[in-house]
Amino acid sequence: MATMKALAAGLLPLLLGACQLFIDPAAPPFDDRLVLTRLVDDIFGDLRDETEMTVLDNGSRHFLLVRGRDRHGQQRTVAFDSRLRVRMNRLHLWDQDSAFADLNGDFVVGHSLFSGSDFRLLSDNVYGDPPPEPPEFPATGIQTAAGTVIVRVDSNVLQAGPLYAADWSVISTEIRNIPLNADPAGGFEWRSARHDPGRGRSGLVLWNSEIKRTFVIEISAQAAAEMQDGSFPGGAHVTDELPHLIISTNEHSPVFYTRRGVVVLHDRREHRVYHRATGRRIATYEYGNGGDFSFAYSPDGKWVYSMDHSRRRLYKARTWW
Amino acid sequence: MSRSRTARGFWITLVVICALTLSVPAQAAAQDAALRIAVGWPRTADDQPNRRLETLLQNSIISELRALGFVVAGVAAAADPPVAPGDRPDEHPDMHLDVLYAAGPVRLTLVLSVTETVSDGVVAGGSWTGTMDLALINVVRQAADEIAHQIRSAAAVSEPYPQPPRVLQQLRLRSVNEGMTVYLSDEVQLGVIEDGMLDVPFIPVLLGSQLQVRKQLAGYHDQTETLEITAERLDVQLSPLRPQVGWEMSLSWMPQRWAGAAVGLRRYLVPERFYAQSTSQLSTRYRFAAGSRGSGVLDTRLSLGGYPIAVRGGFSLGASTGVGVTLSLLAGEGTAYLFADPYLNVVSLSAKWQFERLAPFIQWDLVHYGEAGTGYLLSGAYEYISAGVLLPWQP
Repeated sequence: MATMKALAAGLLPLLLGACQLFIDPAAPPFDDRLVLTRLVDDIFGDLRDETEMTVLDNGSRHFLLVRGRDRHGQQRTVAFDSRLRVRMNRLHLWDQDSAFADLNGDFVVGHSLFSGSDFRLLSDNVYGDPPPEPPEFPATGIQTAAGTVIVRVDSNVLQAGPLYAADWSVISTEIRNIPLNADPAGGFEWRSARHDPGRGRSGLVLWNSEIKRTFVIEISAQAAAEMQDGSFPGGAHVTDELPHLIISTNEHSPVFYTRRGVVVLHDRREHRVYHRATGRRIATYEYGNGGDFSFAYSPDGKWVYSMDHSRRRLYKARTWW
Repeated sequence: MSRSRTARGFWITLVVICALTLSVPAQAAAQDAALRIAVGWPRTADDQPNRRLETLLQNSIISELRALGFVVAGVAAAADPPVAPGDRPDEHPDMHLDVLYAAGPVRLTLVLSVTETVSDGVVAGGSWTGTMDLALINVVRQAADEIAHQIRSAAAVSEPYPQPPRVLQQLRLRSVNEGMTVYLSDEVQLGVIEDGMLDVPFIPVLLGSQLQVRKQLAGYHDQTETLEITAERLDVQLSPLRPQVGWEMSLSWMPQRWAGAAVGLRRYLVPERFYAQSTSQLSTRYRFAAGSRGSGVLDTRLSLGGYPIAVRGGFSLGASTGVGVTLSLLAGEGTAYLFADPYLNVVSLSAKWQFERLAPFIQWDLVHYGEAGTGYLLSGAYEYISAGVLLPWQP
């Protein structure tokens, strides 16, 4: 009896969960945990190219940013709230890889500032007229006790600064360069940065073209402040002092930093979750072989959004872990 | 019906009706003079006898027998009643020849039997088949030659007090299939089952031999049955025919939609060959993982298909095509979604094994979801497999 229970508890889920034979190939990903869906064909045209999605979370609300081309071929960035209602729809918004939440819980996307409650536009030039110069994108902002530290990567170094106050006045224009890694010392390219307000940490996703690996570096608010104010250990590399993960991925595999772990999309058919500390794969989700999708995970690890490019349908689902 | 069957090939399964006799009465054996044979008028089981053919047959047989040294001691006319044992024309013949024929559009089957006048014992007989042209004369000649050979062989080995061979005298067939036609071959119709039985006309079959009959009834599979001739008077219960399937119910399971099953209703437009089918599949999508929720899926499909290839042993290969729609019901956050995704069943290939009461099958489907509909399922072509069973169904 115990054996039968063990089989039912272990073998059956393994078979049904992992084997392609038991997956409806026409069903969309996460079909067993979808909570919301809507068509976006009134907003977007051809989504097959240059479609990106990211989730912004300020600790109390989260929004989905989707960038894609509309029916006229124009680049458009659209913010959906957690009910998939359109809250913002703008042309030619700056790179959403430079989107983050500020100290007030409002969202910075490129140079624009949006309300953290309803994504209403607050400012079209959050960095103000010079001085200082707005950061060179891609970049992100990390909230610290001292203010918002702008962080970006320039080949082999991590640049921390300037430092902005809650009202986006400049506290410090100082930009400090900290070497990223000893070996390989170069070849780093920015992929994305996500902030998990629940843990007060940000995940920086970098691709290293020399060793063909993805680096995920976890930066706490304190570490960001130390890097900006110069108290970060002198001569130390970022990866010497901060927790980080090196994952074998393809160059363009989407990688998401979440509270649950680091999610890697393998060939867009298999989603793998790696433990942040050990790098061990702890969960896998596989779906059918149909469709062309973009995905985005919320930093708190609770939600996954997917966009069917051909049918222009947006889905919101609970994560499987 | 037998004539129509002739057109698609005549198979000769006629069992040797009469075996060679082992003995003949002493009277025939002892004679040095020419044997005297009375020749009956050719008879047929058909409703419309062919008088010209019958005249030709009788004249040819008489001519051949005379050429072989027999004396034709009596010739029955068309109006005469059929000759039966004990009912002979009074011309003192030694033997009597009964002639039975079955004429199709192409072929002729000739059944001859020779009985000794005094003892009523069969001394020779057999059946011959040929084409309905000039070669008919060759058939008659061959039959006469063999008959003569059998009579003389029997005479050569005769004993002083021989026993006549024991042959089937009366055969009654019973069947639950009312109206079923029984054939001795494709051409020779023995009769139709009426009130559950059929008294077969006299066939001089030697005891211990076998008789193969073919049974035919509209709506049923043709069947051949072999009868063991064990007694002179036989009462045989024929095995029932297997009805042709007009309707079938299909029950199947698909691993890709493993938490569910499908039921279908199939109507054969050509019995057991070509069909129209409606199938509904109800399932739920679920994975054994925390947070996984079941969503309802109802798939309905209309298809046309057939089994163009029947291999052997009840194994058939089939193909079908059709259209369908997949309804998906999802319980979302405070709302429910119902999606309808129409699709084209491009092709389905199947293999089935037909047993007496059921037919297990496996099927491979190629399905294409287009851009139409409410768009929940992904557009593109997908493969599915399923396994199930077909059951005869009576609406």
